[in-house]
Amino acid sequence: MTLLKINNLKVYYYTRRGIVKAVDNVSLAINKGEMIGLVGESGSGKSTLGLSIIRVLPPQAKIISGSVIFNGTDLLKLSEREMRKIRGKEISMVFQDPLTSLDPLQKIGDQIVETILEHEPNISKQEAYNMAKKALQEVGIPPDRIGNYPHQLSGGQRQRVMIALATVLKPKLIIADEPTTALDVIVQDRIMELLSALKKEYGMSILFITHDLALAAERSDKIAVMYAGHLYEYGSSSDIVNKPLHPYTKGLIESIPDVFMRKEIKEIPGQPPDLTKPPSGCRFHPRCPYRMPKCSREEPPILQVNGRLVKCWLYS
Amino acid sequence: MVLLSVSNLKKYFPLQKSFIEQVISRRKQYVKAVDGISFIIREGEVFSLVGESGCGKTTTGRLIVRLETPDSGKIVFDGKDITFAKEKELRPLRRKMQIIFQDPYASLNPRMTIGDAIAEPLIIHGIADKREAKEEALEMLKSVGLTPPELFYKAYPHQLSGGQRQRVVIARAMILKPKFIVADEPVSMIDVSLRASILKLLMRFKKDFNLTMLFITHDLAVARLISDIVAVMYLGKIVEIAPVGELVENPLHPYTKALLSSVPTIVPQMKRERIILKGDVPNPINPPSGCRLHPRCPLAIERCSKEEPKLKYVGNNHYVACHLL
Amino acid sequence: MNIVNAILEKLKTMGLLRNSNALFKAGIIIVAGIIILSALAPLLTPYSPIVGTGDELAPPSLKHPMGTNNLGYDMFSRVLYGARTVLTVVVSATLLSMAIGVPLGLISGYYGGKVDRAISIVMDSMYAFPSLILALAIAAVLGASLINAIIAIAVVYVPTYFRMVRGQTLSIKSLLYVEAARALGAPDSRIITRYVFPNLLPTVLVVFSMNIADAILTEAGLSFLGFSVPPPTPDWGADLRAGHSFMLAGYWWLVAFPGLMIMLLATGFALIGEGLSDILNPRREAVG
Repeated sequence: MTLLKINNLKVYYYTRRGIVKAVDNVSLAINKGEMIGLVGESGSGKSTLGLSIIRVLPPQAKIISGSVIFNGTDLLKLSEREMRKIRGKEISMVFQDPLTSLDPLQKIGDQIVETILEHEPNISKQEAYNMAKKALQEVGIPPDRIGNYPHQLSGGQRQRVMIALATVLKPKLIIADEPTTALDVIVQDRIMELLSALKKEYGMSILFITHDLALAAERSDKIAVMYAGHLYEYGSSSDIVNKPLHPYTKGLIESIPDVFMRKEIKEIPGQPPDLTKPPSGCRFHPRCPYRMPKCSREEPPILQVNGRLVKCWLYS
Repeated sequence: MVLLSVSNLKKYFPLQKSFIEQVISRRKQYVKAVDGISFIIREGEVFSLVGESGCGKTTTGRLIVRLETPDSGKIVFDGKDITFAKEKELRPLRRKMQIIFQDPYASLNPRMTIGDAIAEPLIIHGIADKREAKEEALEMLKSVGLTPPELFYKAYPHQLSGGQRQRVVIARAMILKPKFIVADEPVSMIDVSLRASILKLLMRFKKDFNLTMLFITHDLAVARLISDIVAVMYLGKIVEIAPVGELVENPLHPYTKALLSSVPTIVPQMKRERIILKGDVPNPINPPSGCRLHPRCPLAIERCSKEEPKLKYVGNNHYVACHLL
Repeated sequence: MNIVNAILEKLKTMGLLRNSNALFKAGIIIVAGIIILSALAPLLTPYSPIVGTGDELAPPSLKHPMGTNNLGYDMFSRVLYGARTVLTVVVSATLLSMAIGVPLGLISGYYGGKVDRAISIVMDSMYAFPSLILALAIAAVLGASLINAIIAIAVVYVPTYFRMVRGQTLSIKSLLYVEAARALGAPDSRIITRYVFPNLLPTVLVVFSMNIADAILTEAGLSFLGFSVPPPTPDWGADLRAGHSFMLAGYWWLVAFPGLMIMLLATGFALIGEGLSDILNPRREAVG
């Protein structure tokens, strides 16, 4: 059952250097209760895509066209007031750096209560506090720490608070933008366990944005691979990792070392492109070992191959 | 042949106290960054120091190239005791020992051209005059893949990408053909698809110049790829040392096992015994008594909280510091 | 304008400029304009600034565009030639100040220790004085002359450069590329000259131009109180001193024009400083 459908989204940044085509005609569907790993390097557009869904883009970004259908409504057409009702309650977000996303001057309990009361003004303060305590407990923070300030907690704990904030009202979708990138690997593992548990318990969908393909593959049901503003492959995690179709996905897998495999790694030649002047046709073609003349001329269509989506001329 | 030998190395950083705190409590507090570690690195080896943030691995790297002075212990490099050597004695040694830092953006002088930066070590050590240094720098630019070299020679750091800057840093470190390089998280700040080329560059230099490397990283996957020997650090101590294959296939210390069960991998079926550590890494100012891991270790026994385990040899070039073995 | 743009382009490649901006350009135009006008003074006015024209206290007219003062000097001429005096005193003083303050700050900041503490205490005490009062004290001791005015003002601003350079040195010293240089084996002298100093330059330049703005006002104050160049040398502050008693009688042009010039020149340098500050430390634009 489709929860969220992004259709032909275009988001451009207007900078002094030029127009950065950060997300250029991307379509993506997220089903209920699914974790989708949105994988890409910096500049791929993955964060922009996530931020566009709840429309918290920086001022120089503009949503040019496309739609984001959630529960039958196009989020892009809603007013700011209507969006605010959705943020935190229907769709919430977990950011990378809990130090700057939590208010350093507010106790963590108060921040959760504030979010609750914003969306449910009819709940009493006492009730909201109880909900906050329960939320903290669920993420593994002892409820007696409800009066702590963010700086009194460790990085991992702060991220748990962020997750508590994001899940206290049981949203249908959580957008997690590199939530564990700043954390050590053991803490990262526990946070991912927590997200998976919450997803299972409450049937939430999670859009997990990361540059770490292995991390996404281990935890997500599906993986979407983005490069230079385009979505190039989208399918189940095991398919993508074991039988990658798109040359970029293949290149990525071959270039990443893995603890349990001392393999030869192969580099992807070239550099990620300048998005103010993206390559013509397929944006990956300058670096692609399989490129054909067609690739530099025409942008490949999105094709259905073996139950997944690939944007590549090799499969037409 | 042993190139580097480190014995019982310690480095404590005093905590900055506010005036009131100083008045209230006279006792000084220290961050016990490196608390008595010992290991050796043989010529031609890639020795990785692996651990999470705050374990002391970066401090160890800095101590070895003497950017910091140890509080106690011994560092012997190429037969010379450099533990407390003064800068004058160290300067000639710096031709043989170099360091590559994590941040390619901050490692280069923004007001120096790339060419000057790479030629700098030759000028500093009086090995070449300006003309010869320029030629060598151009050669070096070619060998790290920054072509056309003349163009890059005149460029300034801000005109290059992160990956390119890191190549410059490597070129600068290699131009003296050192024997030993400390690489402190050299690819952590580089984009994923560009890491492979930097790692391969390092591996090529290692082969071509028979380099010995101390490779510092939190990324076990990178350590697996590049190392011969891996040492695992936790809270200022080394808990396990083994050849890399042995460490991954036969981890003995609970912390190593916990790390290996948490590391993301595309072959999760290879993960063995899953060890879960409770809580968070404690404060290095007041590390736990006995074995530092004991408050979090699911296998801890009474002895663990009282006595600090020593690194024991368990065969196969494998050392572990754990009372359970 | 083209020369300005060419210089800006070169600085851009060197990574010192991200983009020129309006403040900077405006400042350059004002200052350059005043410098050029005062250089062309002999062509612009037939009158000498120190010879009476016979016309006393004449209001502005075609013959005397800025009027004349009580001694019959043409004010327009005094303003143009006065610019030379002011610029000479102020630029020399600031350069002298830099020549002492910058190296002191570098050494003090880099090596630290007891010497640093001793020098810092002296500098901090000097810095605590309002600049005019300190300059006054020094000028009073030395006596009123061009050289003494330069020395007095120079001394006043040494702590400004010292403190700024010392502070920057302290922060640059701990940056990674300096550590990297040390790890390469670079001796202190090389680190100071090739790593610390070049990275100070942008800030020094900004302080330099802001400083000149301040020095212009200090010089005006000094000469208003009679402690700068002796009369009849053309000087704006001196004109204020000479003319202020005539203001109430309605002879506004004796003080208005010199006063405006002081403001204009100081503002011009301040704009350069502000513009430079913006150019050299551009705000980052985030792109996701």
